[in-house]
Amino acid sequence: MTKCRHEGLIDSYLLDKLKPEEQTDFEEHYFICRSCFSKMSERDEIIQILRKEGVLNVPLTDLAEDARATSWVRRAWAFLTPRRWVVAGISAVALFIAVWLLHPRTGTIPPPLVLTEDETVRGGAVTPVSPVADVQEAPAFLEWKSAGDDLEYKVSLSGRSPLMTTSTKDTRWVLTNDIKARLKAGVTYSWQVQAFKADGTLTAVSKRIRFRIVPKS
Amino acid sequence: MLRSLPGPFYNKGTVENAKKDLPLDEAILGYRTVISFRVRKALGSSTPDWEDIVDEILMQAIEKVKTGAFRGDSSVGTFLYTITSRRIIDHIRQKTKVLRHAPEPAPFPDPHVEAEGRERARMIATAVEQLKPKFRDVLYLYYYKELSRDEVAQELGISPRRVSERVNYAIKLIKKTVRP
Repeated sequence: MTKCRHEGLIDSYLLDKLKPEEQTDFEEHYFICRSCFSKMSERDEIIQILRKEGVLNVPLTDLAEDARATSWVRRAWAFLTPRRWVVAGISAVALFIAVWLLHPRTGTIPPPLVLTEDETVRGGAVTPVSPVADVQEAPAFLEWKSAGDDLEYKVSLSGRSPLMTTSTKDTRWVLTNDIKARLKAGVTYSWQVQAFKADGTLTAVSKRIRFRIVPKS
Repeated sequence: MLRSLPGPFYNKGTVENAKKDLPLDEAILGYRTVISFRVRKALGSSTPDWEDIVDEILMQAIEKVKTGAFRGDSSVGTFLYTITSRRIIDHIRQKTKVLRHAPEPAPFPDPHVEAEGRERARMIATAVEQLKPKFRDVLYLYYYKELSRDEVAQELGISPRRVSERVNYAIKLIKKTVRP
C-alpha cells in the first residue's frame, strides 16, 4: 500500500485531538482510503491497550523527575538530528583540513640562514662546534657536526674580507699555519659551513659564527 | 439475516471495481468493517446497539442503490460515510430521549470475542514490556497522558521529530511482535 498524506492524522483522530471539521474530513477520508483505514484500525487496537492502566508501567513521578534532570548537554545533543550530526562532522573535518593546510607549520619550516648580506636561504642546519665564542688564541681548526651522509662541506672564514674557502668531506678543517698567522687579536672573524649533496645541491647551512681572539691578559 | 453474510470486501469496494468484480450490494457489504469502526468510535464499543446500527446502515445503503437513489456520482465510500454519519446522529438523538426515562441495559459480551481480545491484549502488553525505556516513555506520555508531540519533546528533552520517530518505531516493534 502506498503512503497516504492523511496518515499523519491517524493518531490525532484516535486521541480525539482533531478539530471538528478536521475530524469530519478524516472520517470521510478513511471511508475511501484503504491504506489509512487499515493503519488506523491496527493502531487503534494498540492504543486501546496502551491506555489501559498498568500496561506501560511507568510511574509518573520517576519519569517527570528524570525529565527535569535532563541537562543542557542532553538537550543540545537531542537538538541535532542524525543528518545534522553528519553535516557538523563533515564541516569540522573540512575546517580542520583547511586550517592545517593554510597555517604555517613553524616547526617544520627550516630557519632562514644568511649566506651573505644579500643572500638568505632556507634549509637544514649545520651545527657549528668550535669555535663558537671568543678564543684566547687562533683556533687550530674549525669543527662542526655532520649534517648527513655523503655530503661535501664548504667552509669559509672571513675577517674584514674573505680569508679562505675550502671544501672537505670531513666535519673538521684544520687551519693552515699561514691562515693562523693572519688571524690577529681583537679582530672579529666569522666562519660558516655549507653542506652539499653529491649532485651539488645545497642542503644545509650553518649560522655565521663570529669570534674574536682575546688573549689572556 | 445480515449477520450471516460473509466478511468484508472492502478491498474491492469501489463502484468501478464493483461493476467489474462484484455486484453493488456485495461491494457495499464490504464496507462493514469501516462502518463498524465509525459507529463504535462514535457510540462506544460497549454500546449494545452498534451492530444493529451497522446492519441498518448497510441495508439502507443497499436499498438506495437498488432504487436508484445512488447513481455513482460520488464514490461509494463518500455515499456510505454520509449515511453512516446521519444514522449515528439519529441514534444519539433517540438514545438521549430514551435514557431520560429508562436506564441503559448492561451489554452481553460474546465469550469468544472476549477471549480473543484478551489474548491479543496480553500479547500487546508483553510486547510493550520488552521495549526499551526510551520507547515506553514516549508511548506513556503520548498515548496514556495524551500530551502533544511538542509537550512530550519538552518533557523528555528531545526534539519533536525524535518523538515521532520513537512513537512510530515503538508501534512498529509492537506490531511486529504481535503479528510477525
